[in-house]
Amino acid sequence: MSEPVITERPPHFVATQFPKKLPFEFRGKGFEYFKLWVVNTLLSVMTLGIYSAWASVRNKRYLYANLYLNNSHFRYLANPIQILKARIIAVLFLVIYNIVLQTMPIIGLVLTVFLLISIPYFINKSMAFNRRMTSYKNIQFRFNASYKQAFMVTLIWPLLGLLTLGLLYPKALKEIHAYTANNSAYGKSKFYFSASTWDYGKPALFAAAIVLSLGLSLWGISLIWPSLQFIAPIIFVLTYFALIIFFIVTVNNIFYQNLQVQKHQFTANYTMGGLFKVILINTFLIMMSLGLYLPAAKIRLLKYLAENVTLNAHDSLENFSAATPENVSALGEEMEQSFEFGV
Amino acid sequence: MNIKGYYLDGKSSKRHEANLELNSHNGIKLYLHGPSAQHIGQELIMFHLDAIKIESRLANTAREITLAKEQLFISYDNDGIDALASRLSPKLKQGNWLHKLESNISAILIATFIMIALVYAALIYGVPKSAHWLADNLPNAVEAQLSDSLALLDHSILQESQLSPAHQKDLKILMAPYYQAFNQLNIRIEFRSGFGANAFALPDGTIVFTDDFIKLAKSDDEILAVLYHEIGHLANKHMLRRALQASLMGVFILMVTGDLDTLDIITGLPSLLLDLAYSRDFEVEADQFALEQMYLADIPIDNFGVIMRRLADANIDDSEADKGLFTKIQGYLSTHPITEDRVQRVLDFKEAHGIID
Repeated sequence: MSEPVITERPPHFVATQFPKKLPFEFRGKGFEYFKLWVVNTLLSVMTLGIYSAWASVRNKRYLYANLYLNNSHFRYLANPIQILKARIIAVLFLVIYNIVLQTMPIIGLVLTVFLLISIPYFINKSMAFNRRMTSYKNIQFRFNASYKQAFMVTLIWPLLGLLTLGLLYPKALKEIHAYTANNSAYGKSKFYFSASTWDYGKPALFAAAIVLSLGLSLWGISLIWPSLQFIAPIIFVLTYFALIIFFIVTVNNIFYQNLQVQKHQFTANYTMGGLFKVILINTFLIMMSLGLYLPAAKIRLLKYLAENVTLNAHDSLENFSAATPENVSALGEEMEQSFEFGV
Repeated sequence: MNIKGYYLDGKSSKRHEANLELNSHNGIKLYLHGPSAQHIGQELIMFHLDAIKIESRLANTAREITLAKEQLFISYDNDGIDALASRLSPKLKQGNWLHKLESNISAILIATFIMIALVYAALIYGVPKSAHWLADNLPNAVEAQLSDSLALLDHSILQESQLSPAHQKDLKILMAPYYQAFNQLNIRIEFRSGFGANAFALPDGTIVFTDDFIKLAKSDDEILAVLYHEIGHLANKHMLRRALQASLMGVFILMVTGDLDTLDIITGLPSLLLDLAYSRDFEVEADQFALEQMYLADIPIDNFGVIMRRLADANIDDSEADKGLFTKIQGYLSTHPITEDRVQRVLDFKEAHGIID
């Protein structure tokens, strides 16, 4: 069972050339995760959800501990009790909110406005919690953003994107990414995000052009051969799925390509084919196994997502230092989960 | 006892090869060495029992020992650390029962079977049944929010009916006596053009018939059959129940999988298929309702099967592909039951009620 995986570094290590490509690596195994998942999920269901705080910490601990960079793994540090408390508060608030909304519409409206105003606050708290509960080489990540920044990103930019019928959506996405990256830090070292709006605008224009020409040619075909009309819905569904995958792949590639910490840059090479294959296999096996394949599907997806990101190290990774510890609460994260808002 | 691993001081990301041993004062000693710590040479640090916290074992992931709150010793020698924990203090072995459970093959098998049963019961009975119960017990305020949907449709896919006002009036007079018994549903009949040959019920009680449908129907009885089918949707609160089922399913998936972030791309398609299956159940319920009402109102129930078949033929032009595997797949992918099943239901109903032609 216990095989020491740590190998002594060869003596010529010091002479290694920089920059050096360090790929992220995910060592989780489907069946191993299934074992944890099935036992912990059953315990959650049997305790009517109370144990779910412990279950999710344990599952996340497994996933984080199997994410490796340069042969060192990540850690998930959250304390289940802390999560349980926050979860109870958030669920209580959700129930009260819904009851008030039904029975006292005026107070409910006030409460809705109050909730809307507090969303940026909770988003900040949630980001801070998730970052702080992640550590790599015993140094925690951090997140620190102002209310105004979160307000712009959660409410104003998406709204502007919507009002301009999507024209400002690339800009909104860029702002969201900049908010996530620029306010994050690994120990004392801040992350930097250097993408321009045009980086997002280009693929958006490309996608719009494809969809438009596809729509036009379908319309043309249906005019010339009306009997072929039945293929339109099929093409529509396929295009929709292709667009979702295109969106995930492009947006994530842009995000990592423009991310930097100290002198180290990230790159990502997600491809539509690669992600599509993972989703196809996962969906098929989940359906065939009536859902039992879910945990293994998660492992396959995370493996794909992790192993296509590379850190271009321009220096040794040993020069990071920890920041002073602070307390963070899990309430933001649980509010976000309960009310389903999020960046 | 000597455990090999590495050490991180919690201040920098510099990693030191290390060995951990028991010391003679009920604590541990840590030797730091290896090429990465050359300038320190062979350093020795002592920790007392109070400063040691051992993480619970989790599959074969690296095991962490937290030392004096912020320092870390990490090793893959899980068995070695378990042995160390029992030598030091029984308190340090917390949480090990979980690892025993998670690696016990019979526990896993039992958990798997219970999970299959639970998920099956929850998705097949739990979600629809609780949505049904909720729909019957929700205050009316919620349902009121669902109305006014016809105005929205009028501005998008529906146009004004081309039927003459006299014809519309005749049809309304024809139907009125048949839905009188369902006064509490606020039924209102509307005619529109567009959207093919179709009829549908909106949650506020409006039932819309399209012009193409009226043209397709060959008798009043056929129109009444479809009217009863739509009333069946209203009487059973299908729209509300479908919305409730979707949210309940979300809660259930969240509970089983633990989080939503990575999983919606995985669970998206299967839950869509499940939603389609639920919606087919609603069609079956509405069919059943229509047959019962037709039976009570003395309308020959064969009309139901006839109009349903004609509707299906009019809306899908694939008479040759109508057999075999394709139909089967269509059954899983469609919101409506296959016409064959509907006709069969008419036959079953006749048999159950002793109707002989």
